Amino acid sequence: MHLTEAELAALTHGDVSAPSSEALTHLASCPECTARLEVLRAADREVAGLLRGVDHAAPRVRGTAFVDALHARRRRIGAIAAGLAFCVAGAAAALPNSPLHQVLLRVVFRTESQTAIADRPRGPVRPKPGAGVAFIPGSSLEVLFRNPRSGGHLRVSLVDGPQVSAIADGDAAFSIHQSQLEVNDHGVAMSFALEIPRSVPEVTIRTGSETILVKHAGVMSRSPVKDSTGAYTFEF
Amino acid sequence: MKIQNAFEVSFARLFDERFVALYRYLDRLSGDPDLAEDLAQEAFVRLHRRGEIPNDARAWLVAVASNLFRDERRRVKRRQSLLARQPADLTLGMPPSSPDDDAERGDRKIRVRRALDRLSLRDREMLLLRHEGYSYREIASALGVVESGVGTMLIRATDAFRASFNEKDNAPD
Repeated sequence: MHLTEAELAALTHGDVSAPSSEALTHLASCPECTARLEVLRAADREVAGLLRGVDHAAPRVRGTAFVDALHARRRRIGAIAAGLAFCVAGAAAALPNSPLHQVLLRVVFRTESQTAIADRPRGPVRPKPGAGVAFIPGSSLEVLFRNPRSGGHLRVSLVDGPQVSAIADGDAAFSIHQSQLEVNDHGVAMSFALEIPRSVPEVTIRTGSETILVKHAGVMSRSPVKDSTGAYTFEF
Repeated sequence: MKIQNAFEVSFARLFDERFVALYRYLDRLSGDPDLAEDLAQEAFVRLHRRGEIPNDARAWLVAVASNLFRDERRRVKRRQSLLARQPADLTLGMPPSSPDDDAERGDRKIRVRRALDRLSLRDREMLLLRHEGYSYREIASALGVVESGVGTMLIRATDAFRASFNEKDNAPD
């Protein structure tokens, strides 16, 4: 009895589950089955050679680097979600007379004098275009204000939460590159409120080429003046 | 960043062992190295999301990757049928080629690619898994076929591939 096709296939492909000892014994004494097996093996070798010809170079990535990239992606997605939530809140805040709008105006412009606030004309609050961003930083943070126009100011608060948030009273653009937040005011004087988690040990804030605030190893290495609320205010 | 736990140590080791093989299988299956990279990566992303290494990780990964490829193939076919612009016989495995590409490819490479694309998806998957070193059991598990039939099906797929490769109309244009 000659070997079945399944037995010959298993011998061809080196799959040890199928061929029995009887099959191997038969093969040793049957030239016909030996020849059939050799034909199958030659075809298999030919196909293997042909397939190698279409291969492209595989990307070389280490498993540890891949795991790191997965963690980084997860953090980015978290930051984007937080940013979106912040933008939704910002949009709600921009609605005239909305309670959130009123609250944010008070928070962002807390440094303005009470007199100035009292002198504002009564009636509906004029909606201001605004923009903001929020994200969770790594162990360092650099904030760069590109060529801010004089007339605006920056108010920096250290907060207990995990999230950096920046809000402008105008149509500023924010971009985040790894540990850097870049702010562009498009040449219009505007004011910013920036909240930075206390837990971030390394912080640098620059306006153009000038460094205005440095926190190194958890300690302010420059001594910006705090206002009465404990925030640091810088005039552009 | 340091890898944090035993799962991630095992995961990284498995990645080092299996990523290239999985990529090569998908590259041969699709003829599209970018897609192969995306799908191989996605299979590992899903494994990482799973949070534990399955008992038969090789078979698990290749089953997930094969499903991802089939999904992608279905999406491409849907787009083709909606747009009705693509040639009817265009498959995922034959991205539009430029004169430069054709110049770079050898005749043999083109013929192999065409022969692969002419196989049924099942035959192609089976043949490529076999030539990536997967066992009958792993192939059966990945493709949902009976293990005892894998050997015979492989011989049929091999014959079909060789016949297609040697067909006269498979000569390069």
